[in-house]
Amino acid sequence: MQRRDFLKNSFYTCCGVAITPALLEAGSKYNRYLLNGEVNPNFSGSSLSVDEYKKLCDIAIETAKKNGAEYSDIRICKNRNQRIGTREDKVQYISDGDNFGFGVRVLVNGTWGFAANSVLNESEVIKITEKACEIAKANSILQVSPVRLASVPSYIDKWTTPIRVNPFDLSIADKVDFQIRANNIAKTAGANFVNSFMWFVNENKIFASSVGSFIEQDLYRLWARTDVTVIDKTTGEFESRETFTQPIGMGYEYLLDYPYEKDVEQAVEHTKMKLKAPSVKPGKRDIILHPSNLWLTIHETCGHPTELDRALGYEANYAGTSFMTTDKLNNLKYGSDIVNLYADKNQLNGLSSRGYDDDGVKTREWDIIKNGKFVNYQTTRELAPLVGQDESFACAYGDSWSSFPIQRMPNLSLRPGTEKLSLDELISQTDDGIYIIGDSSWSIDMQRYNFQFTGQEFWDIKNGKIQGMLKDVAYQGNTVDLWNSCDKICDESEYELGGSFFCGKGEPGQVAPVSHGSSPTRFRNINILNTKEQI
Amino acid sequence: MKLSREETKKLIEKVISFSKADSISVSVSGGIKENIRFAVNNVTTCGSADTISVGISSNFGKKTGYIELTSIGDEDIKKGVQQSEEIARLSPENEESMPLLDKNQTYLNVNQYFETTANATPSDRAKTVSYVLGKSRERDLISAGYFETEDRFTSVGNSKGLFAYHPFTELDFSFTSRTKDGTGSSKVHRNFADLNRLKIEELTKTCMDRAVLSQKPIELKPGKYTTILEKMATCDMVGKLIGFMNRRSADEGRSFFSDKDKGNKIGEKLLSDKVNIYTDPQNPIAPTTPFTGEGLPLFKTAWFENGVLKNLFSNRYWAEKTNSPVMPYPANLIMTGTNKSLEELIKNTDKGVFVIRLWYIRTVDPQSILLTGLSRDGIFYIENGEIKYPVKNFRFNESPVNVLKNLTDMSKEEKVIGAETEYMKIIVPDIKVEDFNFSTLSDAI
Repeated sequence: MQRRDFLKNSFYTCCGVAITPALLEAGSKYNRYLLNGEVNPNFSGSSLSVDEYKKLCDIAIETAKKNGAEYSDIRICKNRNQRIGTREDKVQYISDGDNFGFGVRVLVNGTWGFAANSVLNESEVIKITEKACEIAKANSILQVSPVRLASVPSYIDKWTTPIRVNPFDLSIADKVDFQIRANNIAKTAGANFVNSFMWFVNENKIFASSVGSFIEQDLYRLWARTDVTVIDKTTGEFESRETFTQPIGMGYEYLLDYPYEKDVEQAVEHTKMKLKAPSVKPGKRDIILHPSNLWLTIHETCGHPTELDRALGYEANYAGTSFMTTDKLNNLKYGSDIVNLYADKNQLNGLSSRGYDDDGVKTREWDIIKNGKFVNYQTTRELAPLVGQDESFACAYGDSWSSFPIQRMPNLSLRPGTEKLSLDELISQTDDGIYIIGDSSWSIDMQRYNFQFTGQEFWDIKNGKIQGMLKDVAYQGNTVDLWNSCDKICDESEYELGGSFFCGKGEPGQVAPVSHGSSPTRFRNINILNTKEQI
Repeated sequence: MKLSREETKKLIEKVISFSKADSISVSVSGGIKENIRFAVNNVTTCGSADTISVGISSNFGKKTGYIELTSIGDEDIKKGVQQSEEIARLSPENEESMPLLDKNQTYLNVNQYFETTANATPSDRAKTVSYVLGKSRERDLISAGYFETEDRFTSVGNSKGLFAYHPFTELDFSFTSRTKDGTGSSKVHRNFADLNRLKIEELTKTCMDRAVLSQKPIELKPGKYTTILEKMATCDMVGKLIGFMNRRSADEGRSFFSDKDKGNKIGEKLLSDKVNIYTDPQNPIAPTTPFTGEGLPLFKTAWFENGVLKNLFSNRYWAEKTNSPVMPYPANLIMTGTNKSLEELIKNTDKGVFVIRLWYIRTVDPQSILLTGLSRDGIFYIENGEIKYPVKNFRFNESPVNVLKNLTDMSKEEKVIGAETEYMKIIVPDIKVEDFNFSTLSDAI
């Protein structure tokens, strides 16, 4: 199956985090950072040794220099994707494969050139590097403001995602069994249809640049989910729910530790409840968003508008621009005083966590929104100087050896409340609200201002108590009003990560994995729509 | 890596020769894609990727294993074949797996290869962009866009002797122009197999005129309006609708196209009787590969005739199980229009709204195919047959079924690209519909 077909089926619903707490590991899920240093044993892209790769990298950089490049880098990448899908008791697809190749990026006369090839050898490296330089020269007739790069030290280093169980060490049969077992549980519980899938990714890459860096990285992530559908035979209506598993930068241990079967059972039970649930009455209500829903809201309302390339107009032809233009930096009151949103490319289990970005810049943590105020963008070496900064925040990423690295979203999360507050306490303090779990359909405008989100489950809260389930709920508003209406954030004991494998950006389109952490959060007086009444 | 028909055939035969499985299917695709990007009236990034991809599917009975390779050395292939066989052995039986197609397949003759596109150089692309950026500066606008050309092939073969090969060229061109005050914006987007079909000057003028016209929009109350959807907006409505037309989902009762009594709605009149939508791989403006990934021939297929649902797409397994015809997923879509111009549609409208493009379209309710999304790149108020003034963007909550049911008029059809249906070639007219539901205002431009 082609990735595109897969996306057609599943792109709209990226999954979130569980309602049940303590899914990842014991102890605080907040504020734990990776220690650098665990290292992949070897680069398994092909049969070459590290020294041979080094030599090929040197050839690219030398060739670029000879052809007039003031800067050059080369990425040699092997991306492995293993996907397994089942439906009820049947296997739907199993696929596995490596995507290997290299790309050379050069800067000639302040203009970028880029070329890539799946065949790696000395003569191809020379040919491709020359081609990149030729393109840069052809395009430089259009150049009106030459690219200037923020400075970067040179690094010789290795970095790997800390995983306990390498998913690629487990047999396909084990993974199929896991899914069929989950599907059977769903059928037994009363689901009419059930699909499961698992997706494992290993990104193995070497980066070398004319600055003198040589960086090897070995990145892992996975995504697994079960979707159940229940049909009400009398009315012909159907409802669905997904497990609250989330895509995450972990090994297979994530699935071993996750209460998967319990989540599947609950998914069926709650889907049945949803079929019988009353349709929501539209109007203004308070909402409590669980991290499994809030991650997507953070992604869309804070992640995208604070991408500096968007704000400057680089993405105007596709993804759009941003309402958070550069004149708003350090001026915009984005949210209430308790709203602190921070970026962190070292966050434990984060999908965009790594040691270095594709500019060869060391990753770090920084504030985007501090005490409600907009204080920083996401940047690359090319973008940082455009807002007067001399250091990049390390957000460059190319999703393949054949993709030009562009600015991509880091893990971007909401800091938990500083005062002790559990989810139960927050619900008990809410008079008239809706508690929303899981993400589903969403839509937001091209400047990331006006939005509409739904969810997987909606629970009616009256006088501090959950009354029962609602359906057909969507919440609608604009970014600044939403975050300024935020009045309570649960503490770090409720903190969880959500995320997506498929944040789309750029032309040709590239996808990037990214995580967003939060604790359950309350927003006051939000416009609730009834999705069935809209038609 | 661009391989000829003969080279591809040899490569596939080599892959098959390493096979120890009951049967094996091999797909090969490759070639070169090159692009240039621009933004803020300046060149930004670029790319050139030379790729080759081999998909190997090995079968033992009803067990299948699939792998993908991007290297084609003998050792890589041998290892790949073995790997796919290992996966197949480990896999449980898939009751829905179908036997391989045999070599007796007849494919439509499709010309999708044009030297004009294949020979485009970095300089050629830069010159095209230079024209757009020149006009952009001249008209005091800020423009961003993308231009890509590709020279590629796709093929499939199997151990039953099936072999199909299709070379093609494609180009993708789009740009957005915005006014300097940030209150006006418009976009054009086209793709063709033949570079000669790309009318840069005309597109540039259309886009920039609309960007200027859309400046400083006025608030219009949300609600239901007589609405003219420009082709790029129609494209998304039609493309999204077809995406829901899976026969199995319908037969199983989990789709808009389900029918409680007879399984699905084939034969029912669901749309305005003006609506005719079909697929034709040989369409000269939207030619497509004449076969599917498994080597199944694609053919001319009607989806809607005079508003009546004629077919739902269905794979070989479901077709056999339900004793219904195999209907491959549509490779392109053509909606028949009229001889009218867009200007005529506007002229014949007393009061209404004209939408250039839609954006960020998501499903709210699959059962009614209720979609939500936004207008983008220009939306205008029409009164007494004239565009009066630009209005602020809206969020819409609307179903393509309603849209095509409430359709009252159309222009001549043309090949365009919408915001979210880029994976399919679509030819559509501008359409005029009653009661299009705009739910709220959106400040974004």
